[in-house]
Amino acid sequence: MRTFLKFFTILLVIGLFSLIACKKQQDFDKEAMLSGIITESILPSYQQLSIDHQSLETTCINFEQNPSTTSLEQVQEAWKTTMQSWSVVEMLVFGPGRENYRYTKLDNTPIKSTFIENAIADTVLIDSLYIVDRSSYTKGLASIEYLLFDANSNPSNLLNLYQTDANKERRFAYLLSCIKNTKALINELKMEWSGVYGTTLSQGVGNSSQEGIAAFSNAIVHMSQTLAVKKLAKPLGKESGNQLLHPEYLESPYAHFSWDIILYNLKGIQQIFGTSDAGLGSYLNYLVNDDALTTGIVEQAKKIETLIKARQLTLFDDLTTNTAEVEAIYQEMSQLYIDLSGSVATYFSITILANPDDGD
Amino acid sequence: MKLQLHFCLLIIVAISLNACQKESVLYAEEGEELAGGATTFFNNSRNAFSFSAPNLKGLQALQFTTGNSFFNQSWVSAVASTTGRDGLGPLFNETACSGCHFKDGRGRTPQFGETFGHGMLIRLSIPGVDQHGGPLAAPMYGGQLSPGGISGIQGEGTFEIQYTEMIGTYEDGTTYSLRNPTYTFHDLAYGNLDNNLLFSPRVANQMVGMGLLDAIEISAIKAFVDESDIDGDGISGKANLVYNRATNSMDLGRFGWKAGQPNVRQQVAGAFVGDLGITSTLFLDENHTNLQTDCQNVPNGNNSNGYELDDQTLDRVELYSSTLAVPGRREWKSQEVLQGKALFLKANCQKCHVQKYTTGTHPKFDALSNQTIYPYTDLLLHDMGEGLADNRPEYLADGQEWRTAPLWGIGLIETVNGHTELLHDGRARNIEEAILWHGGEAEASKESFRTMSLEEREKLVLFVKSL
Repeated sequence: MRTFLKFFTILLVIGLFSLIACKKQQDFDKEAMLSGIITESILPSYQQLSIDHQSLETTCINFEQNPSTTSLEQVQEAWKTTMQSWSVVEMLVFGPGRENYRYTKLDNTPIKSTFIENAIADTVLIDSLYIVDRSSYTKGLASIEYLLFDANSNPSNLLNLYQTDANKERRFAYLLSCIKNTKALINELKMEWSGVYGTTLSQGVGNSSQEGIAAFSNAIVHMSQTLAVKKLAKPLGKESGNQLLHPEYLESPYAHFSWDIILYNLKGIQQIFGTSDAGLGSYLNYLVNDDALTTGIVEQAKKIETLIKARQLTLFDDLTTNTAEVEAIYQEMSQLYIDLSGSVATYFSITILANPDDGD
Repeated sequence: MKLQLHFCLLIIVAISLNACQKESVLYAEEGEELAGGATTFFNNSRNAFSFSAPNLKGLQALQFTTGNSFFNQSWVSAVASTTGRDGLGPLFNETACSGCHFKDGRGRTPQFGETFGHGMLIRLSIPGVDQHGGPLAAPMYGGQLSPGGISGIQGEGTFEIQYTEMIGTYEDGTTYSLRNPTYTFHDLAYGNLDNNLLFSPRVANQMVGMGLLDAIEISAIKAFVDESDIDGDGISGKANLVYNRATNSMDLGRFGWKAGQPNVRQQVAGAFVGDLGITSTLFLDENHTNLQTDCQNVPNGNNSNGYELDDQTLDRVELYSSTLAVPGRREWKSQEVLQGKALFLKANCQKCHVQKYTTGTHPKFDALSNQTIYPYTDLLLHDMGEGLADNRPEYLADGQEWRTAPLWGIGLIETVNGHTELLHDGRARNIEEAILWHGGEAEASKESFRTMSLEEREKLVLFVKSL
């Protein structure tokens, strides 16, 4: 009897501990975290993008009505501000928007300038419907950059295209139609996030909150890899046999805005990872029961942010004149990718797949 | 009379005006965006290769999920608490299928200081053929270099790639650069490499559409065979004949860079044993050689049938590999893409990259039957010239011959796998370089591309990217 009681007591204690452990896992409010990411990061970011893009449209209309150096500079600045806002949300390539290729239509590089010039030189009517049917390499924010900036930094040449060139009206029509097209796409995405999709994702409807966690995790891991490999390593010539630099691989070849784009892409990662309740970092803290890992990732991102903000030149110029500094940022970015992908894969119980069909 | 003259003049003017009209608007072929027929799924995210065929129903749709699990989860060495996933090794390249086919996508070369590629391996052999006419495994290192070993077993070795850039010129005077790889081997754990070793670097292919390719009737493939180039077009497609282990007979090869496997099931089982060291009903022997004595008495994960991969598990992974959705085309209706398609045809690329088939009846998966598909491959062997030669024969494929790679999904490799490396060893950094590496039977098509204007080249590449 005493042996039985002893045995029963041991079993009871083991059972109680198991229950406590399970309850701990279930204690973390994943829905609140996802909802927080959406309401405190995603929606404000899309709202800002909307505002900035409206400014782009307004300044462009003004430029059309009064083409001058001043009005050109205003619309160029508006493009830059819009790109900063877009870069924050650029990584969210999932949800209903992906199936209509909205993200690709908004920003696809490198653009095909020859095709754009051919369209401007043509006689076919350029309007919103015309742009809808164009390939993503000839519209979107990257094509707008091409139309607003001169890669050779010769502003008077560019202004002539809008003031005196024979096809100036067609060029304006193409530019404004592209802007209208991107406006429509941004509005669609904003509505998706503030509407059904955002609610579904945050409430974990259908496939549990794990789908939302997987989707956001995928996004930040992929973006950190893209930053390291596509936006830094390739221009640094790391995939070529002769280690020659390849500035032609840089994003933003006309405005030379690459550093800013990278900085704001990084900001997007920082927002989603965060450490407040509205960030994946808080979930990582909870699972690891320690904040060292999260702190390490946050610090790594801040380190990269500081290094980029310290750059005085464009990435285009830094690549050739300050290669070592660009290399250093690439190394830190690679480390961020390793840290993020390792943590996420190990602790979040996902295999970096957001596929609802995933049997795991 | 005057009236008749005026009328004739009017007709002449009308005809002239018509002739002077801009190049006519091009239209897409109806349904061409459905690259996989009813198995097509439109998605351009990072998961584009990972969806099940939408027309997969019922029990098979559920079994797809199980197959997905076995494809993605890691295997462990025996003896383990799990008997469902043990038996890894003793030698291996990866611990899971997804290790090479990450997100069901394309492998790549070692990048930026890495010692391993992700989804790249080195096939090995020595001159001669085995009892079925296939590659003869090297006596010490076997049929494949395995860098990994389970506890107590050393991995066979690693490799390093050095590139030499080769500069070429387009007809318009602009230059391009191709990187030519050379390989060195390191950390060889079992002594020097075998004498007269033949080796062939191979990156893992994306997984989409495999079942559909399996469902193409043999007669449809053979219709494009022209080994002696009877039609005189310079293209001499050859079918590979390979050993089918299930039927103990020779069969048409369809899968692998040299069409060395006859069907999806054997491709999957071959990868299990070669890359993970998991034996199965089709491959009963472990992947080490008799000379690797350390490997001989290592515990295995054999079931009561004497092999490690249960038949049911093989069934599930075969189903999974066969029924992944083919991603739908992107921007297939844009004029630039359609103009690029016209240039693709003008350059005769479709002579090997055959656009369209209708599949036959698949014996296991109805979803794959009677589908009109656009894989852009004839599944035949072609001499691609000295530049791409690995000098390692595989059944009827000689050292310069390669199976025409399917082009579906090619435009999404960058999105899914974060790189744009193409060709059997990933040497081509993008589509343009891949085209420029074409030689041999494809020399004329390559030249066609090389002599196009910049705008034409861009359009053709845009078309290929839309696939």
